[in-house]
Amino acid sequence: MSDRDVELAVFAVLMGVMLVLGFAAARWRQPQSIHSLEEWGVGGRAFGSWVTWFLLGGSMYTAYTFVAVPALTYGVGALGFFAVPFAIATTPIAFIMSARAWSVSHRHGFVTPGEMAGARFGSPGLSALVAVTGIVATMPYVSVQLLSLQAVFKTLGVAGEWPLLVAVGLVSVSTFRSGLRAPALLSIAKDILLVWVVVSGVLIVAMSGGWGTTFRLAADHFARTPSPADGLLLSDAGQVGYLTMVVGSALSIFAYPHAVIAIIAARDRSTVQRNTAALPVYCLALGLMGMLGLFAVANGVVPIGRDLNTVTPQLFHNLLPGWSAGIAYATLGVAALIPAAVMSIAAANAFTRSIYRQYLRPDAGPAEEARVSRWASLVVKFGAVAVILLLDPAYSAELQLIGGAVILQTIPAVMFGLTTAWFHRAALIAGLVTGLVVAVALLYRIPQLGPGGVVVKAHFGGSSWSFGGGVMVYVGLIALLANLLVAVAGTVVLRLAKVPAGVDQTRPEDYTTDVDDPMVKRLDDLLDGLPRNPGGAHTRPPVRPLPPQRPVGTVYRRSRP
Amino acid sequence: MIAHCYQAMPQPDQRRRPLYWLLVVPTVAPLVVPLYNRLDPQLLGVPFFYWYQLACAALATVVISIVYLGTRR
Repeated sequence: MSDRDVELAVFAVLMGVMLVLGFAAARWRQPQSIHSLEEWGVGGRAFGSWVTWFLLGGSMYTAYTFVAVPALTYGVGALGFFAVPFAIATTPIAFIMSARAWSVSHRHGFVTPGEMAGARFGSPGLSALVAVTGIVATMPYVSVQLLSLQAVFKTLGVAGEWPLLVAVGLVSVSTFRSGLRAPALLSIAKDILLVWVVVSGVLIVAMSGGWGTTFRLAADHFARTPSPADGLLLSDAGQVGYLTMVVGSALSIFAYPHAVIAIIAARDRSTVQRNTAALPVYCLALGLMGMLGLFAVANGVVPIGRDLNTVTPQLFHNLLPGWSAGIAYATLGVAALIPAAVMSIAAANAFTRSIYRQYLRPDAGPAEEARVSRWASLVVKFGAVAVILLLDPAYSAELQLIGGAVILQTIPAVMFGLTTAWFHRAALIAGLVTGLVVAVALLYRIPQLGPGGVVVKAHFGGSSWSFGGGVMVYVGLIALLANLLVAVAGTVVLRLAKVPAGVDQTRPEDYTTDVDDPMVKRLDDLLDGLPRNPGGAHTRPPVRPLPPQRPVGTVYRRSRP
Repeated sequence: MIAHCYQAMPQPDQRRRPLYWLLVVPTVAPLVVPLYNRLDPQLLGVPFFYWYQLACAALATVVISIVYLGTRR
């Protein structure tokens, strides 16, 4: 048996075990019925601290972390490290915002950001627009995950598109059956494997002369390349691009529907807050992977067929024994499939809640909602495969940044909406549309430059707009600025013209309420067989004037000892 | 009516609001790029640029934990 066979065997066995786990997840924590959207789409909102931590980590620190970030530092050095500061800067913001999102979602039974924005500004149109934006932005992000998986297959010597399609097919079936429980359970298994990868990464570096040697060799390498943009440090002009990418990504990461899902599937408010406090621990793993990209440079790792995504798997192949490399590959594989599953569930929920139930079938029951979401999640996954075939960028991190530029445009409606209802619904819609137009127009005009400044591809070749002199600014931020200008100016004008604003269906206390509030709905009650209307209170249409208070008899109260 | 009752209720975490300002520190620390875009001082052979940003992660965990414990109701 060659080294390659051992790698392949370990990889295949571990992936098989994961798949079985994914199917078994439907029985995990025994839901009464997995056929309601609540149960399928947000895991019944009953995940405690540990599961939430794994799920948040599993869906946010993805194969992107382990494949795309090292690929970027391998290619350009310091600039690729931007993922670390952005992941850190986002946690304090998330600490405040995610708790508010948790509260309002549980008070009103929301499962998507679109519903939050729609209720806050009294506008089903805004809700639908946020949902569509979320779905469009999620697809390239899912693609990043699939590209990472493809890189693993390439390194293993399995060429072509079919292994990817098989993997996507299998994960789709498992998601289809088990909903959010599958990725939640797999995240735990993945993180156990991840510890192994991190430990072996540190060991490899220690045995190869330590970080001092690594950085010295990497510095020599970057000094030899003709590009002025790469190196161990940022160039003066490069700092602007770095900062705008950090700020843009930090704002966008929690605006994605899949981040919202992991948050509101938590059991209570403090679970969410404790988790944001613990999330920076993942940043350390992220930073280590970024530095491993430089280690790959120092050790002359050569990617397969110029595909930089294969840098991490190649590194493992060159420096680890076969069985250990197999474990590392399986980690990358699972790290790609978990977020792909969560993201497709989130995008599917957005479609079902803000579009299907709002416009197509207002009287859809919970079983129908869950069915529609399942099929929509399939569409999202295969849409992501289409994105890969259509865009094909140099760095897969660029795909994430392109998705980020799109999702950033929902920030005024969703994130600002969590703290203020000042904006006028029409102004927000105009701003969102302006932002999207600006973002897409700029992205369309960014060419992909090959070695020596040759244009490889005329459109969608990157995510930063060049202002000349090497100064690059992240397109997402430029578009967000245009978006905000329109939203603020529009609101002022509409208010002066006394155009009626939408009715805010939330109250200030909705954003701070916790699990001990009797108005908060819990899934435990549904599981305990208490619901008086089939499917539970969560399945009420959320976007309509909120009844002042439900009669005491229908309030789901959890009995406490 | 509910809003009315709500205002009359004591707000335990209102008094502790200043604590939230601590969150500015870990938000800004990874954003001051010109200050940390340098090689020295190194730590275990790792240039300042890299280990400073990793240290920011530890800082974020500590500060957020303090704010969480301090504002918990």
